[in-house]
Amino acid sequence: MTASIERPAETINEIRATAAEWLIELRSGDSWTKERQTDLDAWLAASPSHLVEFLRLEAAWSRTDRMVVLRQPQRRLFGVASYSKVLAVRVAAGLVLLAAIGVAMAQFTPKSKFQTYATTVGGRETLKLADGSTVELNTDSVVRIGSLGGERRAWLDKGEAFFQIVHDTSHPFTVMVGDHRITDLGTKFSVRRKLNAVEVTLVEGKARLDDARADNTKLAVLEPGDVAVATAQGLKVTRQKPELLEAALSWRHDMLTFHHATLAEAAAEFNRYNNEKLVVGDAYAAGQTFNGTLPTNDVAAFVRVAQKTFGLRAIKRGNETVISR
Amino acid sequence: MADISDTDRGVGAVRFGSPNAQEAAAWFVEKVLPLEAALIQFLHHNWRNADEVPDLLHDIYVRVYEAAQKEAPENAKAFVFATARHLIIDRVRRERIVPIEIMADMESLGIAVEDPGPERGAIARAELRRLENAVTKLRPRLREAFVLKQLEGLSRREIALRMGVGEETVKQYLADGICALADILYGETTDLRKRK
Repeated sequence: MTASIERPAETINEIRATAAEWLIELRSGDSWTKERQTDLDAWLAASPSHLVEFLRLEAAWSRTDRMVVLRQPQRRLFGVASYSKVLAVRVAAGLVLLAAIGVAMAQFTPKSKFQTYATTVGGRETLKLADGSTVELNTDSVVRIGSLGGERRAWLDKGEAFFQIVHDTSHPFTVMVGDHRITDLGTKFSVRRKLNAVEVTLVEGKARLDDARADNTKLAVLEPGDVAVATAQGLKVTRQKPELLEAALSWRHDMLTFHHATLAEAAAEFNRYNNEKLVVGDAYAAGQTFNGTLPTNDVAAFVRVAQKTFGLRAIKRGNETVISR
Repeated sequence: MADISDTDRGVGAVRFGSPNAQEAAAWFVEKVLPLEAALIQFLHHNWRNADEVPDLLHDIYVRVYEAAQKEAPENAKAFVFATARHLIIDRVRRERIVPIEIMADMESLGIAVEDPGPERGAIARAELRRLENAVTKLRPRLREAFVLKQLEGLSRREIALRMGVGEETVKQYLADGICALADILYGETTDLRKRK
């Protein structure tokens, strides 16, 4: 049928289907190996018919890479449901979050058997505990898990973790953050230890917030949707919009979600996850605001957004990328 | 200007034997693919069997790519349409089918080929709108898989769990999805086929 072109025996549709399979395996596969690359090379080299169809599909796919900036988890984009409903609570250092039914807490120094778990920059680990509870450890974090006097206990020494605790009335689960204690009764929550603050993001359940050093002073009873921001000076509780609470936890899916974040804030957040650091070089660049979701490890995607969306320059120096006007 | 190129992640898949081949591929993606919609219109006007248009298009692509490996033509548009005309003439001769007059060219068809303007922000926004629009045209299951992959960044296994299907099915959805998307983004051929 073809007059002048040497085409393989396959039909165009077959070539396209094969090209699409290769592309999808390459772009979404869990294990792209050297061997597969060699196979792909051979397939592409076999005929320019293969190559042009692959190039065409790959170009289309690459164009859609920038669509991540459109992602808005609070609405059902293209009719696809977003992550499950998530609620957050923030607490500062010096405070304790207690689960609703107030268990009187004795103060003691933690002496116990425990196991230490740590993640590197960019790492994320899910720990499954014997009681069925899980702890998801975010980037650059350290947690110790053990038991103390019949109580299940975790110490968040660094970083951030998300806890899903199987409730057991006779064996309460507490999380210590510095001097501070969070007791869980069947709740799901995330804890992030910052330089001068502890943030707790509550997903489910009810919790009481106490100051451990002030003889269990009850600070607040938190309900789903409440966000408590506490500093050494005090505590502020607000009810947060679900989408913002959800955004705060998108790291559990290896994503970072930004709502009206400045480029400077977004860069700082990215730097928690990557050894390749982002530096925002001038006030103009720093002040650009940004909405969207990007993979935690995709520094290149962030740089592309800065370039394409804001028209900024990116200059790579060693393991730093400086973004500026 | 910028040290980091947009293709950091993308083009690595194809390992070219020569710099010429790589340049030809870049030229093909940048200059030729954007002509696809116009080219398809041209072919529909000049070839009576609409079913064969995808084949013709493919053969034109192969021809222009191979020519570009020797030397990238200066005017991509002129070269691509000249190739299309030659291909049609060749086919008419060899297949001894009743000749048709190839008169309609781009200009007489009033085909506008988009030339990107200078304003970068506006282009980026227009491109995002185009992409968003294209994705909404996908069949629901293909769209769902695509959005979970490209926007939510889920793995194939996570998409499979979310959609309640096997991983192989997800792979098929994504493969069918990107084929359909390429047709919409470059050619809108699905619409043209329907029209027939």
